[in-house]
Amino acid sequence: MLRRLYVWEIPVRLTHWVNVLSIVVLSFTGYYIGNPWILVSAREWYGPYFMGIVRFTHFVFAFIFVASLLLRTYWAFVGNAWASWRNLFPFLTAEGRKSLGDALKYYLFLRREPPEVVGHNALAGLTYAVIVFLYFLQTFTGFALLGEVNTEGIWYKLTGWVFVFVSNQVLRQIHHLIMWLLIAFAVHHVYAAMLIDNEEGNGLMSSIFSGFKFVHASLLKKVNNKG
Amino acid sequence: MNDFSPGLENVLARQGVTRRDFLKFCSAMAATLVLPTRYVERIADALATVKRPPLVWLEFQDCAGCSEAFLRASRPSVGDIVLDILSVNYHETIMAPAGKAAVKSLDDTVKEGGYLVVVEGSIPTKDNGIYCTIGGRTALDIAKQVCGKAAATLTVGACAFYGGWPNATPNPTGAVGVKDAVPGITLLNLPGCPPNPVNITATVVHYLTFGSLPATDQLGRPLFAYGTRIHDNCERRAHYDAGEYVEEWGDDHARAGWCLYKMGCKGPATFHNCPTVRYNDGTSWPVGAGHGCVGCSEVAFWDTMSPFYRRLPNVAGFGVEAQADQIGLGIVGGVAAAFAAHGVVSAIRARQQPLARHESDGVSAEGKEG
Repeated sequence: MLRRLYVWEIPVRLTHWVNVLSIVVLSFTGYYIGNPWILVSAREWYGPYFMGIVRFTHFVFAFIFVASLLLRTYWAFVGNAWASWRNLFPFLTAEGRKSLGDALKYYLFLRREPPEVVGHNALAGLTYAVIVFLYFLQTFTGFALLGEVNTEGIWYKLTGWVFVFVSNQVLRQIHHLIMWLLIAFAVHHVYAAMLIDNEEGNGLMSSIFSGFKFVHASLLKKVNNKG
Repeated sequence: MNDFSPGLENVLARQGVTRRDFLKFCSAMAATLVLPTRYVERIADALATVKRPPLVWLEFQDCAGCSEAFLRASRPSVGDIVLDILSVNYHETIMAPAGKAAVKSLDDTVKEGGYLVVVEGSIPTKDNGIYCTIGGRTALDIAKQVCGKAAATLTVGACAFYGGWPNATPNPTGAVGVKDAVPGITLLNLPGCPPNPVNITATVVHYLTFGSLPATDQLGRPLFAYGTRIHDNCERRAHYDAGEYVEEWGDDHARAGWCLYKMGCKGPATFHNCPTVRYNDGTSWPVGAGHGCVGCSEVAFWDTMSPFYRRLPNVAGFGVEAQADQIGLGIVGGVAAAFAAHGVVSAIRARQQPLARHESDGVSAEGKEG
């Protein structure tokens, strides 16, 4: 029998969707800032300050994104077991290592059954560790580049030391590349969610809206015993 | 020589520079140093009474372009006045003595101490620095001796700052700037290719007026000249904010003086006061003349600011013309193709071997594959 189980708490879902929205907006505005391919007529009301508006939007959503990251980081320490930071490092436990191998075999068509888990599988957890690292790098490079506008400001004070080691052009290049890596991740992420939703029949897709997943009674018993 | 100090104003008066001209020069220096107007008087007092400090100008792996920029200031207001303030004891390009006499004037100055050094050009370190020798001594040896005993060292130009053109990849001579060649000395960097003579002069004026070097950023560049980005003071900035860009050289937008961002202008990445001070007595500057900034006052600008006509550097290891956005698009395309293929295989598998688990769930999976 399948049981309905509350897995993703409100902060997890909220930050997920705020991240989605801000990454989409940041990618479009960021690409435009790097390569302003739309020529705006000066007759349009927004024309005389178009790049300014795009940059403003980029910065506003950057701050929203950072707020979301901070909330999610906090929740990784106080939230439930499936929101915990421990999910990022599955290789630390024997169970996690086994789950990692099972997931890899499943994706490589060497195993029919997807690994049975309540939260996300070990391979996904490991991927999120990489994504969290990319988020950090992207935020850091972003604030460093923003800080150059005012070298007396707080962002330059916090990040300006990096320019002793790296040229700002190289930092810009890294900022561009990470955007593409995050877009590539989004492609993978949506595909993997569709695949698992289809194969496991656990309501994965709706779970990121509702918070509820459908898990086997046997698995639920294991979870309850552990808890 | 140095103890004879007749007062700058008298010297200048004999050359036909009036007190009015002199005060105008002092005002310009106060403005360049971003000082309030009350400092004009203090600068004038200091310059009129200061003892002429001896100055040594060393040239290593350079093109003498920084010297040229400094000496070619057209009116007496910049170059001449500073040359009258300073007692230039050694400058290979403009000094009268040659050979042993030249070496002697350098040695005498070093022995006496209390002098300023200006370094132009990079210092090779590979193979014991044999790639640049003057009078049988390596540049590294000379720099260590002369800069080590100086009251202060000023580097002019990109080469003495971090190594400049000789330092660009693959850097065959192991060229470095003074900071790396002679660590731990009192040093101020005035990078640029060439640096603006106004900034060199203003730094010297600051030193003579206050007895200290001006405040610097973490790369040792004075904040009065390198404290703000070119982009943030650019006369074409309004066009940038409006999204009005030159699309190719010589198009209507270029004629209208629009922003050179898409032509690879490095103004957004470069700290310098070019837009406000300008070159050649305020005549013009690169962006004013319709060419993008190449970022010549930043570290490793030959490597990180090039290609000069493109927005971002090329990515090493991906061929000559590969830029971050093309590589990124390739990665996204590759990932999408890989997962599309994975999806097709997964769909076939799901059809051929349905998961046993679903049958026991009590959930009807009928019609799922239909």
